Amino acid sequence: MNTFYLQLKKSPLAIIGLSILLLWIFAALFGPSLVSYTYTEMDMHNQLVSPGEQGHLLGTDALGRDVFSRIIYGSRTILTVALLTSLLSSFAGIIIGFIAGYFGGLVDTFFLRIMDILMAIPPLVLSMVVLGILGNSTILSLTIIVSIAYTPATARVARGALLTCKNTEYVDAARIRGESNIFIMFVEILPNTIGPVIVEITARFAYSIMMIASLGFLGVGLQPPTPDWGMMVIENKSIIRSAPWTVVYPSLAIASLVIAISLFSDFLSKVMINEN
Amino acid sequence: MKKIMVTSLLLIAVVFALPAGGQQEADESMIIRVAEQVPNLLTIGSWDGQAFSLNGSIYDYLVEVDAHTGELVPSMATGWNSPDGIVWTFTLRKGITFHDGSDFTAEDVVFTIKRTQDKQLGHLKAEDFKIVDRIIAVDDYTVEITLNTPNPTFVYLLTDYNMAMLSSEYDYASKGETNPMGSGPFKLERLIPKESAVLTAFDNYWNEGYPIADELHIYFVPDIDASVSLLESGEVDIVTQINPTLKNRLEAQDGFTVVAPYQESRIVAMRTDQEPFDDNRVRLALKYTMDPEVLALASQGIIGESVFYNENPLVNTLAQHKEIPHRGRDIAKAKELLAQAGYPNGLTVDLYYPSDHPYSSELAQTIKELAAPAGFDLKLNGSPRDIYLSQYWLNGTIQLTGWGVRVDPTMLLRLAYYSGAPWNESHLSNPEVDRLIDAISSEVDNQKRMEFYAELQDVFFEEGPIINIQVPYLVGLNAALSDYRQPITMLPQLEYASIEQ
Repeated sequence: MNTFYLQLKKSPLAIIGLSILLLWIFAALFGPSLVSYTYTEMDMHNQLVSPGEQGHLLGTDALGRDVFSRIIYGSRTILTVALLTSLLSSFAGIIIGFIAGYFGGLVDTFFLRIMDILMAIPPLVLSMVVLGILGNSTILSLTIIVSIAYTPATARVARGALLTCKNTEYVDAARIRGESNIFIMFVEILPNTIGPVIVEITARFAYSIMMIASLGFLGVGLQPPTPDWGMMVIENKSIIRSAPWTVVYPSLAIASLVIAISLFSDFLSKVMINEN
Repeated sequence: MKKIMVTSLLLIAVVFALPAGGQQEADESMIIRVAEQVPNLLTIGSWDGQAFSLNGSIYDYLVEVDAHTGELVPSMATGWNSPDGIVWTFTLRKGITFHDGSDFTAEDVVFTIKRTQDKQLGHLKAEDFKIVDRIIAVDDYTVEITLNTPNPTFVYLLTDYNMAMLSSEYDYASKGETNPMGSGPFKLERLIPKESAVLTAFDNYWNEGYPIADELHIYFVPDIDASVSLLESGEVDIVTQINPTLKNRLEAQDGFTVVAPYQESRIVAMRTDQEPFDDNRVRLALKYTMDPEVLALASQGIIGESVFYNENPLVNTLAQHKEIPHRGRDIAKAKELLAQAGYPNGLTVDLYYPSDHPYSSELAQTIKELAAPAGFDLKLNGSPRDIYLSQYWLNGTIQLTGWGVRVDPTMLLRLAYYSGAPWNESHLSNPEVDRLIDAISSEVDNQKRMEFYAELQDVFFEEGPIINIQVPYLVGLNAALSDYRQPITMLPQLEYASIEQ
């Protein structure tokens, strides 16, 4: 842990990434009680007000809703879904990847082929089709579907990580001790592959944000008036020239969050993987 | 060497001359390009009222509505009369031919009207034309229709977009969607489903001197923003059904005009055969939460000027409209009504709407906000219009749908508010409403008919299942395009349109 801090001190990019990420987490947790408007409050006499006017820090949209408040509230949904998605897909991916890699042979082939089939369909297309069929996207359905779409990739990473440790002496020792397969997989091997796994979780986190924003942009994400960042962009794209703030700020929000997580995840991969 | 030089000079000359000649020819033909959002080309009869530019240009109607005056004008029929509202005699125009060369005669009118009762077809005008008792071709150019009940406004039914005159010799069942054929100003040259259609001027069109344009190119572009971008970049000349945001964007630039040929409705329909809206107190509660002024602002309009509000199917611009003062927004009253109906803690219900239809998303979100303080938790459930219409519409407990206006309100009343009507989205089955619709249809005396209309609007105000927000239908045009006509029948009359090259 100490080396972690030392490394972090030396990496300004990681500090920037982590600070932005913490800022967004803070906004999601406490922001809503700090902003002066709710995300649905319509100030019909102040439609499309420019940033800074009439008490609207980032202006208002065509329905007179405060863009700043919507972005702050929006950070809640996007962070919740992205976090749940990265955890769920990593959890499922680790279990599948470990089982496949550990048992090898037919089990391996079976799981790998299923993952190959899923991977052959781009995750965005897969999510769009499933969400389109379900019709009504909720935070739950969005989380589950994006997780399924991302599971094959994490499964492959987990399997790869497991294979590097599978034939080590401590695994043999555990086997001779008569430990169960589950014990060996998750108590012996998992802690030793934690580096790549954590890096995978953070990378998935960034991908999930992009995916959720894209789905919102494509109109198959959450339903209005949920302040989904991607949806805010698409809702206002036709007025990008006359009221650029309605599009630019949500886009910046998406970009800042994704870049922050990517910077931090880069740093993590350097530290965690090199350490091992 | 000389030979080579001469040959190459000749070649160069030929190469330069060719495109120049080709260019000139292209310049001579006048092409009008339209972007339509919905590619549904449906057979007349089951046409759900979309892709108006396409069907409207291929087909023609017995009577039309003048785009400027709103009056009925002769089209394929030169005259009509009915002394008693029971026997109607139509005189047909001579010399009209269909695109396949066959003549338009009384037989075709008989065929078209009898077709409405074809059970297999599920004709959308079946209910309207049930009153036709007997239809005979007196001679080639005279049709006599006898109704089983007097209907003084029967002639208006023939302006409906599903009542295009069809050829009795053409196989519409198999070719209606792929190769539609009518007697309209343009004939279909080729159709690429979901992509585009090319129409050429019909040389034998009865209205001499029209169409002015030589060709009509229709592109099916589902995305309205993309359509307007096409207009801005000069790829198309007409974009139908744009939203007020895009109107502002086009008006801020040179070279474009936006016209609003008529008002259309966005109707919030509550299902009367299901909880919670089967209880009139719940319906009234929702009405008490509405604020017309706010709804108008959400539609980027001004109440009473460009946006209108009422609680019945008749739009405010119609002569039959009865001015009923708005009940006023009263949250306390709404809460009280909800409590009386058994919902003291409010209620949650899904509001379905087509998210890509102009005004709908903004109105749905505003209605949700307006209704919330009284305890209505309207969960918004928007989907693209084709999905909305095929999956949710007519099934939702409460829904927001776009409705066009009909010249004669009875057409709409029979289509959507009569018991068992095909597009009865509120599942209304109210004997009083049915009685009044029947009375309106058969009343010969104009004064009395107006009284029935007024009575009907009172019934809707008291216990009706709808909220009717009327917004302008907007069309974006290239400023070089002149005489774009689109009367309240919703059918663009593109034969009059022309464009400066």
